[in-house]
Amino acid sequence: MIRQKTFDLSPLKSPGFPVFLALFPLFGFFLLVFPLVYLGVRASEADFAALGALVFRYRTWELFRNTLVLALCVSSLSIIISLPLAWLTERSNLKGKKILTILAVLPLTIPGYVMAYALLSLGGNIGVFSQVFGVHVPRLSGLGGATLALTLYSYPYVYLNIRTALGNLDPGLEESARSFGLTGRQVFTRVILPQIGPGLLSGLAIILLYSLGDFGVVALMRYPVFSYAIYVQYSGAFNRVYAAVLSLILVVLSFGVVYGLRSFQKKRAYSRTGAGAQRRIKIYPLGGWKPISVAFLTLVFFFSLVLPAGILVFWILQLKTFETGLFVAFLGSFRASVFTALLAVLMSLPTVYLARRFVRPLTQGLETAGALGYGIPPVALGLGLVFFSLLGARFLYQTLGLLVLGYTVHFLALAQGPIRTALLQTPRKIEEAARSLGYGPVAAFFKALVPSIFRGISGAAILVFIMTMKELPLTLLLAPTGYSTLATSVFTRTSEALYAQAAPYAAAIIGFSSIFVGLIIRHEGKGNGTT
Amino acid sequence: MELLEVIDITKWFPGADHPAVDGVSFRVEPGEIFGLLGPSGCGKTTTLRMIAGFEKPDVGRVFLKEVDITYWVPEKRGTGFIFQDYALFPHLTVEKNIEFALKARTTPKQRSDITELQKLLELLELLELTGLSKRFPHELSGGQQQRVAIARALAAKPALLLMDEPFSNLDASLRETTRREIRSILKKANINAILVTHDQEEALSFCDRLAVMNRGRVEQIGTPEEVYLLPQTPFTAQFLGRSNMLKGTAHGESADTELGPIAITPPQMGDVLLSLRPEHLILGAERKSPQELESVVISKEFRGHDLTYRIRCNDRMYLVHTEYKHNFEVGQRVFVGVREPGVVLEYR
Repeated sequence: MIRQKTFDLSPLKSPGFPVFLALFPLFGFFLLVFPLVYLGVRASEADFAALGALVFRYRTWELFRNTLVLALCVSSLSIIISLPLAWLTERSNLKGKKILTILAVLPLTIPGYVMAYALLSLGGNIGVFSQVFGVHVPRLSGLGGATLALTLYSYPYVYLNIRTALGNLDPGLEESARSFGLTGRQVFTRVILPQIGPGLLSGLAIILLYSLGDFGVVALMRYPVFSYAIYVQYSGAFNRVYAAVLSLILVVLSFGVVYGLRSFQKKRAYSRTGAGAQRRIKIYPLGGWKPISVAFLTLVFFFSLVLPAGILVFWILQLKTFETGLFVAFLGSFRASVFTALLAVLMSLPTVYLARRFVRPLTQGLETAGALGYGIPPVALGLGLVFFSLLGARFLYQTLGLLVLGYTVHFLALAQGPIRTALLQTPRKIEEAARSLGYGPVAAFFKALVPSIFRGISGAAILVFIMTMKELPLTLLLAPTGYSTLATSVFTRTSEALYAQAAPYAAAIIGFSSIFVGLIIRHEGKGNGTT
Repeated sequence: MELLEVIDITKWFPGADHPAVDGVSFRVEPGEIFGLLGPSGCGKTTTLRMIAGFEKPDVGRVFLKEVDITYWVPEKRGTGFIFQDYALFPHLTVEKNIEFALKARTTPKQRSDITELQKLLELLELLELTGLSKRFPHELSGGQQQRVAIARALAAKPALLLMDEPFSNLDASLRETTRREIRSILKKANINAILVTHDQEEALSFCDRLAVMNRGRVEQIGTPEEVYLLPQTPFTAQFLGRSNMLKGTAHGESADTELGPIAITPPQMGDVLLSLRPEHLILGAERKSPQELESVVISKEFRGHDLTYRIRCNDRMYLVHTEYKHNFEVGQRVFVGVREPGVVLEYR
């Protein structure tokens, strides 16, 4: 039987299909499509020859090259840090591996632009070095600064993937390789490395996506890549057609990475060995390598945690008066984040429910489409939404509503995850039990299913809330004039080298997201007892 | 008047090359506990889900108390359902799980009535759950969860209770006593039920009547004694316990077989396929009658209360159950006799 893959509308006609629920994912789908369409509309304002001249000029090539070089540098440095780190925290005989693991993941709470802020404020005439030691050190900037800042906050994605892969290895394979006469080093290169390959690659794909889409770091470090150039073109009102063209190129690049990620993940599923009780993994004694290992760990944690924290404390101590703007900015972040968390949950709950309870190409396609928003670089998404509101929905232009819609499209994938996991763990029988007890479909959904998956729903809301609190480029592009958030406050003050003034805002973001990361860890730890 | 009548229901699942349920019909009388017995994939659960309204049949009708409910939504039918893994609401206590069901079909006015609380207490007592009412499902043992599931289903006052392998998640030791308790509760409360199971012993001891299913079809319907002692098809004969199958030529009330001339039931003429239960054969060290045939013990299985021998007679193997006192050695020469009539099976 040939199955129609794309426009199979049969579920809409089948009995019991809640058609009205499909409105939510459809709305999400249009929110995703409109910005892209309007980027296209803007780009097509130029005639064909002009467009060609725009795309194929030297500047575009330069941006393309810089973007790739940055992605390559960040990926390489992430692997150089993560591979030994994962080995030491998973397979070595070091003490306190649990704490070391937490320390290794902790940089995730530091947004990239805060890391960039910390590194920037080290050097220069008014930097930490010249104030404390009286030594003039040049300011870190450009490719080196951007690489360091991006790597230090995003390497945990590679680290976590490698660590999981190392933990899931079948210890029997290493033992049998040794029994064939391979040395320890040969076992590592021929048995272990090939097996962690897929995990490494999917971690790398996330890093690639981040370095393609990042705005805060490259803007502060003034390293010309696509997202920075797009913002400059737009905010400087130089050439909006060129900004649209660059955005479309960036979207294509990112989707390429997302597509790559998905195909790697599919391959990875094949390589996984059978389930069953987990065997103990082999622990290797460090022996003479121990001093070097400890030195390595100290170096990594110094740069990724101690340094940014120390610099923040230094600048806060420099501060003589506290700005009242801190409270306003906090409120701005908080308000937008609450609305976004609510809207993202409201939209992803029906989407995931349809895709998992009415498994059909149409419903699953809508779920996947909803998740694509995370793969669109925020600068391109933001610009698309600006054009959309200017040309198609004037009433949304410069409103909090547009900002919340933008955040929601971007973070929908994050909201889907916990809800999907909870729903997959909750059998259909929960609703059927309620139906057989006399409840209608709507009552069964709200009284039986929603309370059963409430942990997933609240987890999704918390996750979206934190990410929105930290978000920068969408906020810069979409927030109404005068609307400030913690993230934009850090960014604008750092751009003007007002390091001390930026410090309280940066500290607030880190403090706030640490609280919520702690909340998530507690949240996940509790959910195991239920049937 | 029958309580439930299922007429010729058929269900295809998308992409399958044969129907999951293929023209199934049966009736359930008031006060009866009915069983659907068959191997996994035989369509018994799908049949049950069509009665509950979770699936719609492609062909056929379902009548409950003479009302056609084939296309009704589940909540309108008045059928209770007990799931294999109970499907208790994880966020509600035992008490709240049962209240959830009590509230379903009552109006708010009735709800304030004292009777509701009374009913809850009665149910908890009936199922020995009184001390557990404040616990959450994950704080209960498997047997307790199962009783909560039954209490919850009963609270909604179902006209018919549908049970999908309700005992299969219990330990073997717990299963038998739970089964006995639940049966007596259902009988005491005069509740009609349909039990789906793949366990023949469970079906035989729990149900008043049962339908044996195979490949989406009903093979035989009858009381436990009928389906065990008078199987109509080779499948029924072999699924309900072990059986020796032998071919023969029938002349009315007896037939010539490889075990010599034996009595058969029901009377038949011509070529027949017969089923002989292992306990319907007898072994002896000496020949006690001229009909007994010489054979050799091939293997021996000690089963506590009895013994199972595999013997060879005229180059064919037979299974024989004997009582615990008979003790033969492997390789020993024995004589096999037939002590019950062979049952004539339909075969195609």
